[in-house]
Amino acid sequence: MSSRAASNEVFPLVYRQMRSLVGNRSDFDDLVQIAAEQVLRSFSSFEGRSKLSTWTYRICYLTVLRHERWYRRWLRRFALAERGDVESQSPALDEPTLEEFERAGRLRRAVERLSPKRRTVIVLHDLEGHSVEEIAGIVATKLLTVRSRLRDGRRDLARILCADPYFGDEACRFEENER
Amino acid sequence: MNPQCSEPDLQMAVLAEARDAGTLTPDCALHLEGCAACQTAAERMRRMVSTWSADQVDDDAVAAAATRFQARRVAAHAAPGWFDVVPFALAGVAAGYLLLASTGTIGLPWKTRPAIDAQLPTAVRASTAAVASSATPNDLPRFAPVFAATDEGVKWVRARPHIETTRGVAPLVDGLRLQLNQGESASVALADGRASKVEGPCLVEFWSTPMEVGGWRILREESAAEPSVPVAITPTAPAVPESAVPSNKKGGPGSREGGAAAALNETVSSSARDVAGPGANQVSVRAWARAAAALREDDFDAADRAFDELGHALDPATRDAARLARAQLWISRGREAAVRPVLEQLAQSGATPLVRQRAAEFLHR
Repeated sequence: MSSRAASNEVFPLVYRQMRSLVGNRSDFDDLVQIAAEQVLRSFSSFEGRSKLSTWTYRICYLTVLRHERWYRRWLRRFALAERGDVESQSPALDEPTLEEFERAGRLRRAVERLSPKRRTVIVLHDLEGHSVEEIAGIVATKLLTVRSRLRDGRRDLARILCADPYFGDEACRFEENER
Repeated sequence: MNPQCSEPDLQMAVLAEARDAGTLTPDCALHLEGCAACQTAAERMRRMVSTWSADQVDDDAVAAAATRFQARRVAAHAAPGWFDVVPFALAGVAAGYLLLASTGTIGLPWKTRPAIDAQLPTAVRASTAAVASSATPNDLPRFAPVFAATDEGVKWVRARPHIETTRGVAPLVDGLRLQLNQGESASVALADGRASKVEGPCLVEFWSTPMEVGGWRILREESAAEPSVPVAITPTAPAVPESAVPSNKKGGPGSREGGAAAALNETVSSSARDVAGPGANQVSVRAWARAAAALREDDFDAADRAFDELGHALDPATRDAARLARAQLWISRGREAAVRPVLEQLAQSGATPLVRQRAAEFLHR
């Protein structure tokens, strides 16, 4: 497969996977560039023992982890943000409804407040629908560890979203009771 | 998830079904009926998945990003990344070199001595500073001479301060130690072309110092193998008559050079008397005698060699007296500037009050 063809095939995959992992962050383009470059450089070594999407997800995951470690150190050193958090970009306003954007934005911000490892498991399992076995392959850890991160991540996310007008405890309980 | 579910495994199954919008098993359905925590969690899961799915990126955005990616990739491959940093790297290297040169850590290529030092081990270079400040070099490492093996090497070494024996030619380095056997002699040549001879048997060491006239201090230790000096030639100090003062063709009796010559006579006489007591070092006595004889014959080179040898004696009083005498000899030949650092050092830290006083007098003349 030529470089151009490989690029055409894997770039959309990497782009969507990276977006699901980090959202519309200011450094999203850089992360996509790094991960896609890494994927294309290592593409010849991909042996097909796992799905291509699993393999690219792993590269995206490692890229995000590495980048966040470096970025947090950098931000702390130069005191641009107290915790080294990365700001999200506001979504563009040319999509369906403002309310949906606001919900999506709140959900993404809540997810980004999780630790990188828990966030990855929550996004891959709950939001993207991957199985625990697949996730264990992507993050290269045991099934039990994935389950543990999933349980802890859900607990953290529920705590973060507990007061949210759409995802919060009251809103969800009310909806359930209405049914 | 407040309150907590009492059946976490069942809650996992419930949430999995809520995420996939599947059909609940009877157990899960029964649990969900009675668990408020699972009801809330399942509804939150449904809303999150729904919101997340609606927030997917469209194909146009992906295509635009792919175009940006290709453009950046081409730009990155067009010029190698390291090319941009080469000027900065060169500037850094130059700045570091200048810094090291200014602090004396490394030598400049157009200076002879540091060029040799730069090729020496770090321990040797470190010892130079200690010796230059008149520190006792007892705790510093000593090195055996490394004789040049090729003609080109010999030529290279002879262009620098070196010692030449029948065994070969070796450059002078700090801590160089050489054993000279009975009947063996070595010629020590300094950078300014002056040379002196050392006769065996003895052990000599070389230490660089800016306080010496030639830039190097030679410590000579008499070897145990040296035969005792015959009593007949060393009973008394040699007398130095007035005629021993070198005839000075440059200055008259009242001139600076003439005063230096008179003072030199006085220094040699008193120093020779001082070393001639019982238990005196016979080598020093003979050297003072040679110096006195050379002065009588107006032989500058012989006197200079004798003072040079005495200047490397282990006894501080003898060594400083010889250095003062040598400085006076050089002043008598009009070379005040060359000996001024030596006089300053003697005036400050000469071994005896007399040496300090006379050095100070010469400095103030």
